[in-house]
Amino acid sequence: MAEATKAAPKKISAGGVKKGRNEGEKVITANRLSDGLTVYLYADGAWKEELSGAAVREGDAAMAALEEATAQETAVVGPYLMDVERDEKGAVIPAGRGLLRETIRSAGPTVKSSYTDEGVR
Amino acid sequence: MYRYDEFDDKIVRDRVNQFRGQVARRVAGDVTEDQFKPLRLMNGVYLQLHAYMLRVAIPYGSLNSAQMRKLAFVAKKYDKNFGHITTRQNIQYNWPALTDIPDILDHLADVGIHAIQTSGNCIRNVTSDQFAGANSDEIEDPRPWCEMIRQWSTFHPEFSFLPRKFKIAVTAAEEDRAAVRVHDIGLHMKRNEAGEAGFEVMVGGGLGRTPYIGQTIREFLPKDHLLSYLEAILRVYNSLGRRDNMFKARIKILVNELGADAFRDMVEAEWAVMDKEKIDLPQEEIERIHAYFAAPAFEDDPSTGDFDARRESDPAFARWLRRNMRAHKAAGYASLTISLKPTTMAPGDITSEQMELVADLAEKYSFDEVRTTHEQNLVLPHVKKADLPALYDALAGAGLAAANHGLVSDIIACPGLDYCNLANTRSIPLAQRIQERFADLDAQEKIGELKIKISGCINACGHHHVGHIGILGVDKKGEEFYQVTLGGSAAEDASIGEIVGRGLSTDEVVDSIERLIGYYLEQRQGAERFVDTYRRLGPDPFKEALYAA
Repeated sequence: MAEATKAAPKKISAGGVKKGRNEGEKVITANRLSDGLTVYLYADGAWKEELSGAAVREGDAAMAALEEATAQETAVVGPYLMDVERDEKGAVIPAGRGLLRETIRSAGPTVKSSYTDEGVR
Repeated sequence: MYRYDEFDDKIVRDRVNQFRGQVARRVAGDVTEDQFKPLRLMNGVYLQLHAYMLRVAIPYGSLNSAQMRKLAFVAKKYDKNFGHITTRQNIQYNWPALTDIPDILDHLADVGIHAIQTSGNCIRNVTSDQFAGANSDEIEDPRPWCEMIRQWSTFHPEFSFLPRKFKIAVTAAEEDRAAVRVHDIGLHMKRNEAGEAGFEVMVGGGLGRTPYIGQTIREFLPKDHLLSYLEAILRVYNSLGRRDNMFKARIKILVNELGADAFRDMVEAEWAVMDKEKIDLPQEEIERIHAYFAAPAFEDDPSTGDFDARRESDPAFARWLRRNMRAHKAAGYASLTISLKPTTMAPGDITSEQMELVADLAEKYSFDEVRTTHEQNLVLPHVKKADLPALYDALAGAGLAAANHGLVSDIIACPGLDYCNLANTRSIPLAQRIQERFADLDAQEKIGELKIKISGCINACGHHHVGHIGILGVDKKGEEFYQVTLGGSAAEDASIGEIVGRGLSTDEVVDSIERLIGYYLEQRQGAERFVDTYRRLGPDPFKEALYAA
């Protein structure tokens, strides 16, 4: 008898119009309700603008955390799971097919996006 | 230009107050994002990659200096000191906080501008010829008709929840600078055999994932019946347009599935039974609106001062005139395009300081009028030639005197993946790389008119389908590729560009465009533009040049 086929990882939204699957390491990202800035969910439940220290989760733990984040209607808009990996210093960085999109979301536009002296956020 | 009366002002103020309450309830958690999203969209508020984006309407691209100064103020106080002119002649702010937007809208209302009809499935901001009222080749100023459409369509109860967004463009000149053939409805003012003015009515044009050139359903519509005929078209669309599939919901799909003849029959049948008197404006109201657009008090053939001497002695000034000046209907005057395509900024971007300067110059030199263009530039429509040297010096001092209007570096580009939540690839960096490659203005002038248009996804906000050279960004397994289309045009010779082959990598694309242009220069006959040579020779040799490496 053939070995039972392992279920494919669950299909998930991957930001914008992108779709992905819940496989590999994920971070929960969203836009902050008040100003729309890109934010990431940390292990202590805080939403911060820096990706590097965000909480990394996988599988059911990622889905459960996403469900909780989705309920935070007054904090963030449109949370989803993004693919990540760690660099040589252990910082969380974008990965996978959404690499360019998520790099731009975390680092800001690749073109001049501020014409003040303060520079890009 | 049109000025709001107390009724217009109350409508806009009420709308701002309503939105202020909606934002407060959203922040307090009294409404969900699903409930709030359609409300914010109806007030021009999108959520993009990094921030909210606020799109502010500039009806038919017409602004006065007070409005321009207010736009500058908003950019400085609430954004990162710049705004972005769009292909619907609007302005977008890329970084406003949601909680600031009610205040921003209040400030804008002080000068009679707002974000109504900049999003949602309604009739959007009507666009027009940026030289309206200054053209020597126009039958009449199209702006009063645009204004009538604006008033008729604003909060029209029957057309506030259409199957999909709806875009109307109007021109009254022979040369089409408003891209009327790629709109849901395009209106081109013409004369009939009796010499009366009316509109050729085109429907079902559009870009996006399914591009179509609009089809004429009426060769001549008496102008006084404009609103009733538009209402008949909208009624047919509103009842038959698809609501089950957003990708098939635009009127272009309906018109092309039914056929233009069948669609025309339905519109004419609806129009025949319609109580036109209830919809078409009475003559006195038409005249009242026209009065707002009365021509400025042009001097009778004023002296041109130092204009000719400066043109003779200053090659940079002469080049700017060659590229950016257009003949005016009044002797001694000219219309000037202010290019927002320097290589130092994203196409269409303008800083607060630049906006303030343009406002000052419009007040001083152009009867208080500024226009935005669908090609993401600005126009001062009525400038005395004698004032052009001083105007040029002021613009040049602020980085606003790029002499590239209509040339290869005058690129339309959507915001792309640097800002947009829907984009697959970046557009602005590619536009800038092409601009840098062709930075030499002598070389640009030698190439002549060449419209490059870049979109970062199939939604085609950068109008790539109608670029002489169109560039569409596509995502291949997470990498940026660019597919080239050739032979498109948004003008009176409107056509949809042809896809010539596989997508090009980021590294390949600029070299490929350069080879394409080099081939055109080799093959050009006489005064042919790129698109003329392409149409004469067909796609095959251009395809070979594009992929020659």
